[in-house]
Amino acid sequence: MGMTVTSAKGRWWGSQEVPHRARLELTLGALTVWVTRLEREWRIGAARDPDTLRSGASVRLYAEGDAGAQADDSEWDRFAQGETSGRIVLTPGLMDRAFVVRPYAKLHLLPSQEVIVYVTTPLVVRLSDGADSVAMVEVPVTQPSETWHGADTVRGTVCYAGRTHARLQAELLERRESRATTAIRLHNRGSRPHWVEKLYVPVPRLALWEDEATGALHTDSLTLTRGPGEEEIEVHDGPPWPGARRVAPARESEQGVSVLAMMNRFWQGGL
Amino acid sequence: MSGLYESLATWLRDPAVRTPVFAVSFWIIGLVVVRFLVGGLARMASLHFDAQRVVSGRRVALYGLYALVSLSALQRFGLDMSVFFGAAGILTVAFGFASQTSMSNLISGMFLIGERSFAAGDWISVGSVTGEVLSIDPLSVKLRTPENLFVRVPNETMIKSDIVNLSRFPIRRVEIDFRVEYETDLAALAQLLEEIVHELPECLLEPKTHFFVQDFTDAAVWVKFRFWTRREVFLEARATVQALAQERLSAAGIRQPTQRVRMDRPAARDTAVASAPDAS
Repeated sequence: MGMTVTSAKGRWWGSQEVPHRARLELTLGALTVWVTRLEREWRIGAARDPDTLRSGASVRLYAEGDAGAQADDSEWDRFAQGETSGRIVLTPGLMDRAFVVRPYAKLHLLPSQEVIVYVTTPLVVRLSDGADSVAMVEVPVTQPSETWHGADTVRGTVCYAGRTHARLQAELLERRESRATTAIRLHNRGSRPHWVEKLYVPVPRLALWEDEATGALHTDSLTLTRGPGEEEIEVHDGPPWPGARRVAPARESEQGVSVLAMMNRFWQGGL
Repeated sequence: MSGLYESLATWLRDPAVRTPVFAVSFWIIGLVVVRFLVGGLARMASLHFDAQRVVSGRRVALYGLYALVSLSALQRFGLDMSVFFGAAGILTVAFGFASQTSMSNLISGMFLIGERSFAAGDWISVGSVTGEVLSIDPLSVKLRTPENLFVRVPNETMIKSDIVNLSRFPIRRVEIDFRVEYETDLAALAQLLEEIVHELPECLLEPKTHFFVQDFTDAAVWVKFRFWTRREVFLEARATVQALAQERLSAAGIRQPTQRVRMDRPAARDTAVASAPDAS
């Protein structure tokens, strides 16, 4: 049946020993990734369950011939090297494009109010050989739909689309190991209620942090401020709380990100 | 060894030898210096300008300086340049008449590069030709069509034509026409197509899709469905949506009618034909 090797608190990432011809299986939400180690190659395959809201994470190790392992098929990718190191490193990461998430129910922020909205976005799994820091492959947990975010069809960016319950209390969030939580502080400095139609979450600009107490993953936090005639978005680089452990850096550095462009993306490209 | 130098110096003191040797040396060194100088400047310019501008600027500078060095070398050779320029004036008139088209292309090329409507690597449509721009040269634009054919379009033609740049913006709108029966539930059809867009990752959820009736004809209702996609996956998104829509329409019992024409011959005419006397 295979041996479960997931560590405590659902922490599925880290370095795992894979004996010769053994197979490691990671199930993370709707995604299942298989890794088989041969003498001079890794074979990596993946499949997704249609139920994208599935939760849970487990890592199982199957020796050669063990019952229960997924059947081998031609969908493997092969990664050749002089000699496989015997360890595979699983690392969580954030997606390669920003997300535009729309609240399921209309959310209005009253004037002069400040709230924190919690939004979750899907993770990617990076797999690398234990002796090599370069990732062999990066597999997204889900394949989200794409959308356009910009003032018009000329200026803007292609983003991933998502929906959110826009929870205002962290404890109301359902635990999903396949997603990372972003705390977005919304501040309406205007004199009228503001309809938060959609939220722009620049995940490539965010680092990923682990809550060591619960094993949950969080990103850098954001502050979105709307004032009379001005809107701005601010990324708070650094641990979301004291003692948080960083598990993955941001894909993109802050350099080169235009403040005006960031501001433009927020609040429906109002600038 | 000193004897060799002595005889070489004596030989070079002779004006009949010295002048052509110096002129040729000047010409060769001049060409080499110009090549290095222009190459260095082009490398510096490539940091600030796009590749097409750098290549064009490099060509103009290189050939212009080559001409100057060559003329200067000829002057050192002892050629009377006033005679040369006099002859050149006459030649220029003749050359000007002969090269009107080329000059027109050359000037058009400068405008094309200055206007920056497209660049090497873009996909454009000019007249009936669609292709990837390989280069924008002084006289013509070179294209590679999807059939992998090489097409040369003169710059003058480019300036006079409507150019559609297919690579300018990151997203494109796809339009698909459907022909359905009058009894079709159009709201259900719109919903079905909307679901396909939500299902396929290559289709963008925003800008919004657009579904409307385009025409009512004798045999069918023509409807148009518009959605957006990234320009890189434009063709495959259209093909996938079309194929999936065909499958889903069929499964939902939505038929796309074909026009059938039945010709009935009037009975009286048949009788008349049948009773006509044999003319033979």
